[in-house]
Amino acid sequence: MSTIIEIQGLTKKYGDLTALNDLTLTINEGEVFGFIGPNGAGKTTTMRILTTLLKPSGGKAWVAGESVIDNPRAVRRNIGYMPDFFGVYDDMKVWEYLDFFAACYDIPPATRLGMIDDLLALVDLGHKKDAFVDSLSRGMKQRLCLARTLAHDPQVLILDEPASGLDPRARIEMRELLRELKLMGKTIFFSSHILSEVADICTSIAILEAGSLVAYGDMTEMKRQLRTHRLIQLRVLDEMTPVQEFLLRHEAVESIITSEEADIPSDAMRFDFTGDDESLSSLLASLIANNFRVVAFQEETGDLEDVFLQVTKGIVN
Amino acid sequence: MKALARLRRGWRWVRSLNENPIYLREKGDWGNPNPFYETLRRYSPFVVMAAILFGLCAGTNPALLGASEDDELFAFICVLCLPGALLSMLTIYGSFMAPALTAPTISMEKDRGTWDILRLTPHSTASILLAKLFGGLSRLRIWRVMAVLSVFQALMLFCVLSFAGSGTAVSGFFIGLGALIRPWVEVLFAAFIGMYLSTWVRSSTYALAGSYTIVVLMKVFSNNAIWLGIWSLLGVDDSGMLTGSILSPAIVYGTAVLFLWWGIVRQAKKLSIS
Repeated sequence: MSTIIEIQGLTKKYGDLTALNDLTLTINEGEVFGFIGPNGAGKTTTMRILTTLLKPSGGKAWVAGESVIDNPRAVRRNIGYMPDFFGVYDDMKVWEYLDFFAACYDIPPATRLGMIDDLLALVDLGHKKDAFVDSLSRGMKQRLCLARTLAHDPQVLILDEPASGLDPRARIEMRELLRELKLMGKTIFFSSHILSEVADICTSIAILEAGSLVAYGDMTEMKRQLRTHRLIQLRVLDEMTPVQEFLLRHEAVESIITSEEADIPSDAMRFDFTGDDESLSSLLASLIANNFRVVAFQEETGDLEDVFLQVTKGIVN
Repeated sequence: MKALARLRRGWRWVRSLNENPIYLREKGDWGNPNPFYETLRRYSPFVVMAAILFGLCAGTNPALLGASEDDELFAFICVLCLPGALLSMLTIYGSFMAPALTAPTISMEKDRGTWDILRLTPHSTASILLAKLFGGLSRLRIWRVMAVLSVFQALMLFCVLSFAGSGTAVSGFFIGLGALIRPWVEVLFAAFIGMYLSTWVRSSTYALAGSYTIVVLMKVFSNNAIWLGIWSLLGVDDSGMLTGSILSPAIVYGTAVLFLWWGIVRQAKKLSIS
């Protein structure tokens, strides 16, 4: 996969305040890149620099091979940007809104008609084609705004908090839409503070705090690297005590959490395991060999919240 | 060569205005971009009445009212004054409506959050500002009438003062020139000040209120009577006083328009990448 976004030592200062400090990262084509961090971490600043709306104080950045500083016009052709405060013209009808922006990108009128229908079908707003933008719900407006970013078929989508302020249903719809866009081959660079959402769809993430990058890389790899121990949930049909005693004799088992201590089913337990996959597999084999009737043996995947809490210190700019 | 190329590019841009979506939206082809103008249009009978009243005051020679007994003089003054009065009415109407068309253009985009999105289209910031300015002004239907009246008025004044009156051809020319450009620069000033303030403030109401304040102040402090007084204090002869009183406000408005144009272009550069 080739690199589509490259950021080298990007810095942005507002007087004495450093909003972004020496940010360096690369994003490959077709990736869904989650940009997370607390408010004021510098996420929006980075996105505004990448979209050529803001001039960096230092460093360089390229989108689709074009420099955001030297060739902003070419960058603009290659990106679709949805700001956190999504802008819509309330006085227009849904199709007029898309038609207007498609015209701004010099798309000929004959092509625009079919394209609008396709875009509205993609964001599931076909039935609202003749409705006024004003009459749409927040989720619908957000989807319309996303459709607008696709009007000129850009390679990269830069979405600032696309799911912010949406109800659960609208959030799920947005997530599905992003998945669909990923399947269409778009590179998606989006910020969010809803970590479960990022975890669900991202291939890579970067965690930003007080303008500095604190963690960055492949999603699964990061979770693995940052996890010091694994949590395994076990369910057996037998008495719990002998199983617990058996487990504690294993060198890789650190401790056991019972259903009384944690929110797990009464016939289950959870144990801390420090070994690798091979050791885990042999533990399961020995449980079965010792005639314990195992009905569930499952590793609990640590969520992104764990990673986030582990790498950030709660510093706010 | 560079200037020529720029001029050519500018001309091409003007010729393609009818395909420019930003210009067309401002004209009202895509939605209703300017609620302020629509509100003002609802009250347009009052605006027209005020324009007629102020126009009559500003553009009528008082001799008209006392000359009804002398048919020839009355007819002469009518020919001379009627275009002037109509032109004053149009200028007042234009000066009142133009800020409503231009003041909300950028501030409303900023307020709605669409300004950044618009800036990301392939149109340059200067092109967006100009398309909005021309699009807004194209909604005023006064331009053709204004062109006819201003040319007529300028020719009348030039001919009367140069050939029939006691003035010289030079002062006749300058008075005619002043009469020709004054209504245009006055309306353009109102439009440009609206656009300029719009690039600075986020609230359309503030931009509009600020524009009207400046337009009224300019109208009060740069009228013919004040300039007549200034030239008289400077000890200029009668012909010079008359020429100065008509040409000076036009020069002041014209200079202000040029400065505002420069300010808008400068602001466009600032806005294009913060």
